[in-house]
Amino acid sequence: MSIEQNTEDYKRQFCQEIREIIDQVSEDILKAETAPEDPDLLNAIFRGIHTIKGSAGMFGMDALGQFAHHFEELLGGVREGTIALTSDIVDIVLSGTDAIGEMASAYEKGEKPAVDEGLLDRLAGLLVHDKSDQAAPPDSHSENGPKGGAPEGQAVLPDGKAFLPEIPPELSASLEAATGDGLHFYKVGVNFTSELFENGYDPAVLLKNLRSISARYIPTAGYLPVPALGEFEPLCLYLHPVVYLATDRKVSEVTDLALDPGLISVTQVEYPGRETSNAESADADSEDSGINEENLKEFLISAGEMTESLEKAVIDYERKNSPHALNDIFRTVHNLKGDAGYIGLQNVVLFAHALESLLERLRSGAMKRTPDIIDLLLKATDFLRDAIKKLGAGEKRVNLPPLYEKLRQSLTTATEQGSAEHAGAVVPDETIKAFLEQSLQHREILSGSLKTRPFGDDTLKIVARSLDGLQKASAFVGLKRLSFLCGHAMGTLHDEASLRNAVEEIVAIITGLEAGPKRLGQILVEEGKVTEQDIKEVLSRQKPIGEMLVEEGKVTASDVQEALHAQELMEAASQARPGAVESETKTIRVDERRIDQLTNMAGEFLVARNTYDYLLGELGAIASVPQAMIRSLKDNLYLLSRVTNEMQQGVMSLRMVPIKGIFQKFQRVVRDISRKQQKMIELATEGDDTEIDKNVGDMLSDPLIHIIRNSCDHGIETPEERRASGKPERGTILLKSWQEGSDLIIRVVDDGRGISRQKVYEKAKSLGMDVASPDDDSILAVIFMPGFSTKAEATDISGRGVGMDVVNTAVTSLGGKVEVHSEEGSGTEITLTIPMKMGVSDALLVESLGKTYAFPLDYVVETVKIAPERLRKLHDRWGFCHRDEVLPAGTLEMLLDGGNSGARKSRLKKTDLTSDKEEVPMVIVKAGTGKLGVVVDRLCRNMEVAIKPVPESLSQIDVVSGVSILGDGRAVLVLNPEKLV
Amino acid sequence: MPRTIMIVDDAASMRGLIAMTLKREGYEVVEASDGRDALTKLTGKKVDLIVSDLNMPNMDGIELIKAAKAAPQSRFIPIVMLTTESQDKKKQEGQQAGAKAWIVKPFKPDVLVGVVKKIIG
Repeated sequence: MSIEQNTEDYKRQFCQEIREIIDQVSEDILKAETAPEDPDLLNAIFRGIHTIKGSAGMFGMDALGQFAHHFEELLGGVREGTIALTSDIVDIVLSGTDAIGEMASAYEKGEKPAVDEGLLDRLAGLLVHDKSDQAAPPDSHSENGPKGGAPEGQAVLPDGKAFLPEIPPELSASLEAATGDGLHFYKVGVNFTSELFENGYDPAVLLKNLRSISARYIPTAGYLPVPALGEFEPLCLYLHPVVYLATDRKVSEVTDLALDPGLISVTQVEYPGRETSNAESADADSEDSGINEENLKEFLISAGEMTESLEKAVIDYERKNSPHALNDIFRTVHNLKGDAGYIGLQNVVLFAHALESLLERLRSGAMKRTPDIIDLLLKATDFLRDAIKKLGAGEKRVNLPPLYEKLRQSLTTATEQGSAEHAGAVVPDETIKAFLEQSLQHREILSGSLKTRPFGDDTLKIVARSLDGLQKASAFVGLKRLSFLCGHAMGTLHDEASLRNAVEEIVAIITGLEAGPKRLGQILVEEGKVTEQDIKEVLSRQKPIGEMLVEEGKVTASDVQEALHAQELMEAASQARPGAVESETKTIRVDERRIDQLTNMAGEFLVARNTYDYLLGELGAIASVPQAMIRSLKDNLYLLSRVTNEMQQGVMSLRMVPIKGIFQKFQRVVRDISRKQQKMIELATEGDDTEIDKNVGDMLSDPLIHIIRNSCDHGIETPEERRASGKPERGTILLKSWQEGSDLIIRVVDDGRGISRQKVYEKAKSLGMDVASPDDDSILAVIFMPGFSTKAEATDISGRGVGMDVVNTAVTSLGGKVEVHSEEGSGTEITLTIPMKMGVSDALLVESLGKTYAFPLDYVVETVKIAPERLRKLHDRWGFCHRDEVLPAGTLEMLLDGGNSGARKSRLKKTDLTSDKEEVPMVIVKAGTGKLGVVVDRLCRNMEVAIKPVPESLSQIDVVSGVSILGDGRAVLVLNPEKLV
Repeated sequence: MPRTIMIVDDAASMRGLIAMTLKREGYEVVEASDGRDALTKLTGKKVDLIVSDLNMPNMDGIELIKAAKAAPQSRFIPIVMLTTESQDKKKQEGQQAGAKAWIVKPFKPDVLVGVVKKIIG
């Protein structure tokens, strides 16, 4: 049988498989319509169409492969959840499978299949619709352009890159014409920065190189608003072109044309109408640099976190002016810039870059920290946050805000000031890095061409060009000696020997730069300014070496200055080199739903384990079951319990995040209010590392903002008032968090004026509320009522009467509670107690009046059996002496007799404790307020229970902190010893 | 002695095509329809190399690599992925699991043969 015959056989077999696959897909898609949440179904559907797409190419069925590809895209979207599985989609998929079946039949008969173009159009419509506003014109922000009548249209900044690379209509024809040639199409963004431009990196060279490799080369102009001539900055790079090109090179080869991959962004453009020529190039390592949704999603999450920490760092910086905080800001902006560049958000990169330059100047001292600068930084943070939010909401482009111009303006003015104030040029790290790279290249060129090429005009041309570049670059970063040597060498171009000497010296300096920082003396010796002897002499006198050398008259002060500068550069350069990469903790991001699923499963697992426990108990009661069997089952149960525990803890810990993330948001809130109201307020935090369930944290964030706003607005007084009442001018709000048993406590304490009971009382009366007297303990709870505010006039910060009720609602819905304590004149303290959801804890089960209750084991000190007569009446309660301590005591039934208003402590009667038994079992619990002996009917056992919050309808009963389900299916109330004692 | 290559793919036509390509080069082939099937067929058989698809029911290609690497008798068998999947993320995953090579479908027979020869000669 010939190979062709063989292939035909497999092709027929493949057609048969296609029919099986599409039958299965049709069945699955119908199932999925009724159960859209089932990931397995969607996966299976996707896999089916994927297989067809992949194999079709192998059998020369390209049209079918292409067709299947479009469906795969759609199904991919459905699987990822970006496209909802509506009945329309199901219809299209079903028509699609029919069409695939027909195409397969046609191939089988050896005919050319008909492609259902109408269906593909519908499909394309869906996909484009889903990717939304592709066609939206970029917002013109010409108003923000410079004054002075810039020509029309200049201020429109075309987006560096679209998410789905979109080809301008005039280009499509040109690209289409090249389709048959099997070329790749790229959209290339050129991201040179002004600094690099100033430093001799010319984007035009890159563009020329790009052109030389391209079969088709279509540049589109992209530039920043160019100001009027008077304000025109010749060293500023206004050009940020985007080029479309068709070439046979791979992405990596195109990227290699730029000196630094960061300077160029290359996106492969899939032209929709083109035959997938990819399919022909069986490329084992084909590149894919398109922006994918997954990357964007990850970017948005991490960028969100970055802006949070950015804000906190800016506020820290304002408060402390610490270089540490500034470094934090810088690092964050830098990371953000990198990430945005990776994802292709050109304008975010530009913005972050301008911001970075500003920070760099702050860091180097060329610019001073002023409130205006801080405002600028905060506004920049706001813009970034907004941009990220908008991207998250589906917007595809970020427009540069007016703020961008402002940033750049502040940069130019600062540079002027800076260069006036600081004689030594301030060179950003980035530029140093670029310089170092560049100088290494020059070194190669210089030494290489002089060694390997004959000494002639051609070689000299190369050398001269290199020296010229190096001279300018080194002058720019302030290496005067290197610059001088380059100039000198250029003067000796025609004298081979002295040129070689000069070049050798230059090479040595560059090698020295690369080698890392040297001692100042060494630099000076090498530069021939001093001898080693001089150095040794002065070293013995232990003063700063530069100072001593100047005193000795060996060198001038400016020589030392320059050498110091060179040393700094070397330090920076050695830091810039890789190798000192910090180890990072690796994290993966997981869909929250998956964790929820896991949490639920772990909970179920626990219940099942408890059932096992219960069944084992039952089994033990049957005499005929051999003891050995019971024992090994028990052993197994222990193992199972351990695993369950670990799993439970593991799962719970997945959801836990440090509360820091929430706390740090408030710095900004406090700062804004204090600036607005001209108060001095400091927000201190404690227990930042307390872990909190992510969901709970999100729910608490808003309520906490309300509390903090209230503290700032109502609580903290103006500096004058504070001075008058003998307090420090600066008010403090303390945000504290810690864990107490299974509860999370968050406390907000301020040292402001406190809540006026009288005012609250009057206001409550006037609103017709039922309040007893201003001194009543419960009076403060009134502030949590909806619509309640004692402020005569609402400010824009608080006082409209919404807010504190939000706090109450949110906290109650989490099964927690809010408590207020306030001392008029000295401050307010608000405490939120949040039960940690679904906490699993050890509990002691007891029986009272035939009902089972659970005590959280954390509270249980010990269990004892005592004779009833040891219980004595103490005042109005019962008590007994135990281990030299007098403890209050009561029976559980008695303590719970309070009904839904909680435990009644004072209603113990003598009769409650009369018992005909010799000894009664007792649980001694310890709560925050003391110990208590609780007499029960029977002590059962310890077990792990999954505690769920009390249902809403029972939440009034404070002695119960939760409910749980036992192995035999009974519900049990988990008691709250805090309220029993 | 001819070398034996196991071909793992859920599509019989694809298996046939690969088998044809490899047999022409003088290799013996064993076919398996998914990862699980492959593991079963691996026991008690001398296999010099595995060519596996990625997306398969029951057990996918990467799980297969992991399982094969975990078992002493199969841990040294080189595995080549032959799949339509071209995402870098997946490739990386495959590489981390221990895949020797990653060929994207549709493939040219020469490419597959070249890769196989490079690994087992």
